[in-house]
Formats: sequence, structure tokens, C-alpha cells
Amino acid sequence: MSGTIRHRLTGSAEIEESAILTFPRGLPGFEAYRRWVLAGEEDSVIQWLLCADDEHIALPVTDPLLIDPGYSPHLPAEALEEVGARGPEEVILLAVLVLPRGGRPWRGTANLLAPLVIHPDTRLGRQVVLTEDRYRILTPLLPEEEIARLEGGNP
Amino acid sequence: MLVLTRRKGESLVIGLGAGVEVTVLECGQAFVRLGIQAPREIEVWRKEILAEVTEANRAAASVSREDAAALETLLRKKG
Repeated sequence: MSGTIRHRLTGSAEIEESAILTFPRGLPGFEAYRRWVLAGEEDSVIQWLLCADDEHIALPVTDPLLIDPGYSPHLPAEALEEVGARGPEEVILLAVLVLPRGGRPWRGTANLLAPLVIHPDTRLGRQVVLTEDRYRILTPLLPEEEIARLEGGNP
Repeated sequence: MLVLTRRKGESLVIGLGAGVEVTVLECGQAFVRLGIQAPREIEVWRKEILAEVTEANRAAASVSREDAAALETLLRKKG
């Protein structure tokens, strides 16, 4: 396939079709959309997973290690196989971010229970639900005391 | 909803030739442990987890660029 895609978030900048990541199962909530593109400036902490087929859909994502420096989930072999990886070292993990609307971004959360697993070479991806109890869907981005400080509460 | 009684060790087959089989492995007072065999294209989710992931993904899609930019600044300070 050739050609370019436009997305609201990238403005007039066009996305090359070759940048497309295929999520054969779609994503929960966006089951019908299989083609996505990772966008964002090289040095940004937050990147965006843009829906290639609906320019209004974009999910902010980040490196889960930034939220939990010890993040080392066990990825099921069948999930790795599905994206064409022979081992966990071949894939990139991203956590989907949720922020409250209209401010207080420090109250945001990262989904560490269901990371996006992406193989950079096959360009296949899947949102994988871990079976590990220690990870949560709504993982706070910042420690409670940091949040309290930002909200001007007690030190 | 179809309601069936199954004992420990008994199974259900869902769909003829679909390769989906559910076996009751263990029964407790407040839980049952199930073994599920299905072709890999059929995903098996705990329903409440699927609902939460779906909701989180939808909420993520309504995050504004401005809020994300504010978070970016915060996380940079943290890092």
C-alpha cells in the first residue's frame, strides 16, 4: 500500500502508510480499528497512538518503565508469537494513559495491567492483559504525597 | 440465558467444531475454577477486566492535547 493518512492531531503533517501498526484484534473499545500509528516528538515522554481510520481517535501512551521503574511483566508466549516476536526483548511495551478532563493531569493513570505489545519490525500489535495481580488498570502516575503537594494540601 | 449444571471434571462444548471447551476444574463455596480451551483467535477475558480496559481506552481517547502537554511537563520533572 502507498499513500498518506491525515489525522487531526498531526495537523497538516501527513502520515506515511509505511508507519502503520496493525492490531489484528483492534483494541477493547475500538474493536473495529486495526490500523494505528505511533506519533510524537522523538524526545517526548508522551506519545500518541493515532487511529489511521478515524482522525478523531488518539490515545496517549507512555513507556511503562517511567511509571514503574521495576515494570517487568510476564508476557504470555502466545501473545508474543502473535506479534511475531521470538522473545520479550523484541517487543516494545506502551501503557495507555488516562487523564481527568480539564486539568489536574497529576491525577492521571496508566494502564499497566494491559500494556500495548508492539513488534517494531513486523509492525504488529496487541493489547495484552497480564495475569499478574501486581499490575493495575488505573495505576497512579505519581505517588500520593506528590499529588497532595501539587494540589497544595498538607506537605 | 442457557443454564446447565456441571460437576467437577465435566465440560461444555461451545459451537460445533469451534474448538471451544470449558471444563469445571474446581468448585469452592464462592468460586469455580474453569479450564478453557479455545482456538487462539478467540480471546478469553474476565468480563469485568474487559469492561475496565474498554472504559480506560475510551477515556484515553478523550484526553486533550493540552492536558497531555501539562502531564508531559510534570513527568519530565519527575524523570
